[in-house]
Amino acid sequence: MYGWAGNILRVNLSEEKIEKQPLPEELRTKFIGGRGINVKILFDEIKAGIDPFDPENRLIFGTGVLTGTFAAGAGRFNVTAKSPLGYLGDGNCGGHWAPELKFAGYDHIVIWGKAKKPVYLWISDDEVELRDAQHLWGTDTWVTQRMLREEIEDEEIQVACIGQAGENLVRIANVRTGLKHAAGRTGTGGVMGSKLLKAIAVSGNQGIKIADPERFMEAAKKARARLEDWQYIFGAKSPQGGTYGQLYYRHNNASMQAVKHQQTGYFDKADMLDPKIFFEKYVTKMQGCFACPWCCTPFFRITDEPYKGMVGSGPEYEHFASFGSSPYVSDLLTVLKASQLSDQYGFDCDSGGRIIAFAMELYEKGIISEKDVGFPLLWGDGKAVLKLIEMIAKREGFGDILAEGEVKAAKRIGRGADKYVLTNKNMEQHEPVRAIVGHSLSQSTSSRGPDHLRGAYHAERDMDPMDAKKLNLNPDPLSYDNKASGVIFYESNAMIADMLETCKFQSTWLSIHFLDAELWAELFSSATGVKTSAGELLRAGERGYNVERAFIAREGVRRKDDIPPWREFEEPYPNGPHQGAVLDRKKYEAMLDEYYKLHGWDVKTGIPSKKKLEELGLADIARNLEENGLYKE
Amino acid sequence: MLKTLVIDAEKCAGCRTCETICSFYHEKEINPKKSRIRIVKWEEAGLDVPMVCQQCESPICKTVCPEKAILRNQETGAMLIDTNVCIGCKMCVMACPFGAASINPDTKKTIKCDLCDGDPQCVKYCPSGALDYVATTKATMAKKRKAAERFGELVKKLVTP
Repeated sequence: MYGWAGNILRVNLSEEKIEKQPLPEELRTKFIGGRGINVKILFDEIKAGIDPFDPENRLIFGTGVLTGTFAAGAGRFNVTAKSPLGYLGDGNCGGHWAPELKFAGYDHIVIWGKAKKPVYLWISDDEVELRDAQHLWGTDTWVTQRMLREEIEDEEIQVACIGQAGENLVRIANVRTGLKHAAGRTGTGGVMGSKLLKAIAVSGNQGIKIADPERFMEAAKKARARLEDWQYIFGAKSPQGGTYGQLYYRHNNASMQAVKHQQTGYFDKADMLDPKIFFEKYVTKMQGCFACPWCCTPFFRITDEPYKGMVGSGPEYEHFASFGSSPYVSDLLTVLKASQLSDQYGFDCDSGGRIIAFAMELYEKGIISEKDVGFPLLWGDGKAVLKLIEMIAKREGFGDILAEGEVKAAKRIGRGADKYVLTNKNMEQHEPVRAIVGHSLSQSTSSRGPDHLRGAYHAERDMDPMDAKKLNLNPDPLSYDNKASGVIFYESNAMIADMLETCKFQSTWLSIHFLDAELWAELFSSATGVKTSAGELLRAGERGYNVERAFIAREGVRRKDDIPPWREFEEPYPNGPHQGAVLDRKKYEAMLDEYYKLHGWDVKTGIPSKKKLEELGLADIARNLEENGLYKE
Repeated sequence: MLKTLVIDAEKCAGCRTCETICSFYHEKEINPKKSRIRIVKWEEAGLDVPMVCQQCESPICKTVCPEKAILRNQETGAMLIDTNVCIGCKMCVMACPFGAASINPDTKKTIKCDLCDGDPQCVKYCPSGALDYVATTKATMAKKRKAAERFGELVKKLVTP
């Protein structure tokens, strides 16, 4: 087979049965790969309402057609399952693990059941077996990878694993690879821990075959040429690259920085965490995911006390929003230490930082006290942040409550904590969006809960107004007009990137000048020998997104779950360049109506209509929703 | 004019684009294990070292080859393996001190860097500038300049009132 490896690996942990199956043509044609195929398998194979820690939950790893090629950053994979937070569990991860799985001959791994004792999965081409991991249980992600390389006596193997957070079923734990790569948000690491699966170690010896090598080379050259200039902005040739280097002030100036649990969107101490300091003092060089033309990951070595000698990788802008502005911490070394801890424990920085800020707000409002936590929880207390990260990862003391996620934690605390829960589909709100309306829609409707990696309305932040016009996007961040169609445009592009598994930053999802549906279609066709077009790929993107929507609808998501938390409507920004900004509920609801109509979903419930699903070739999904009673409402 | 493949490991980002391009160019498939250049990593130290044939002046591989299958390309200076003559005895693989001669798992014969006939593909696509292909007479100038910068800083401090 060309492009795809052509195989799914099925692992039943309860019965210790492993099977290699061909990747069905229907899945390939309709859902392409990666996140698309993952969610279709998830939808088909689990029933609505199961406990995410039930052995029946599927844990699915997926690579894409372009994984392992040099078309663009091509090291990515998705991890999909029912989320411990209750709805769609899905995270996208970079690094070098995904290509290794393809070189071993597999596109997807579907895991279910539960092992009797901790195990790891060893994959070396056709040699696949479950091995004892009791000696690895309790170790952090760096140690796990190091130990596996030592015991397998192969420094070139790639490992995807969980740390203590996943082992302890922390509902926001991640699957990790390398020093810092994470399948972020939604706690799929907790699902892996519930199955007593510690790691998946892979060594691949085969090659990816390309159907039309000359044509593929031309398309890849074109793609890389479009991305070349940004090495100097985002990548290895930039003096201040990556998301932290380039996005930190952009977010703050748009008042979309998470500060004090979304009490405001502008961090007035931002300069204390100016990326310049980090890059000039501690960064030794930039590193990159597999075959990436940018290489946007800073490697750092700290030269100041109290962390002199400490090394780490990343961190991203998100770490500074999570462990900096969210808990109102302005000490650089604390944020770097927190990032490293979250990497090692396998603990999600975004969700973790917001949950810590949630706890600090409860403390501020007098709902919890020093007695509950064990120490004071004042805004800006870096030591408290570091302690909480450890307590949450290990489920110790008050950390055990926070490990449940904001919604369940509030229920356990009681005393009115519910009021301060700022979530959407049980996931921690990502950013305050009072002054950036398109983002309010994209984050609140996002299929896996509020995040920036699905419908993110980048035209409101980065785009040249002329480019925005070409794509029929509205760059005015305060306008509610013509936003819905743009969100859907970004959703589809993000989905294509996740189906082909190239880095979505290097696509139209971020900028019109990067890989677009046309070029993706050319890369896909020349790699696989299967004809497709830009239109068909966009259609496949819409199709995959509708499967995600059907999945969460089946789990109970309705219109009320697509609306931003109350604070966005009721508390105008107290400071910053958008002081006074607040969302207008009526206008938001009208925008949401428009969004549902454009998607072909029921305006009252947000459930994908039978007609739309059938139009997209998802008649089987429509039937399933009908059997589950969704069309009776 | 003779050129040399110059490697700056401090710049290497560990992305392994070179491994994909090399294997694709030579084997028409993407397979790092068939690449002539490989990145050796110490992940926790942030160290990435490109390892490739050094095109030695007194090549041990040529000396040990029983079939005289390894010969110098006079234009590029690269040591080439004639796969028609190579018997796959792996003496060169054993003898090379850099591990630069490796075994093609399909043909079981040796593969090594041939500088792509004077247009090394890895250099073309390296995003960090860790790989360069420069005139041999100038091969170390960039490094000399970088080291001299430190002396230059000192002189500036001494000379400036």
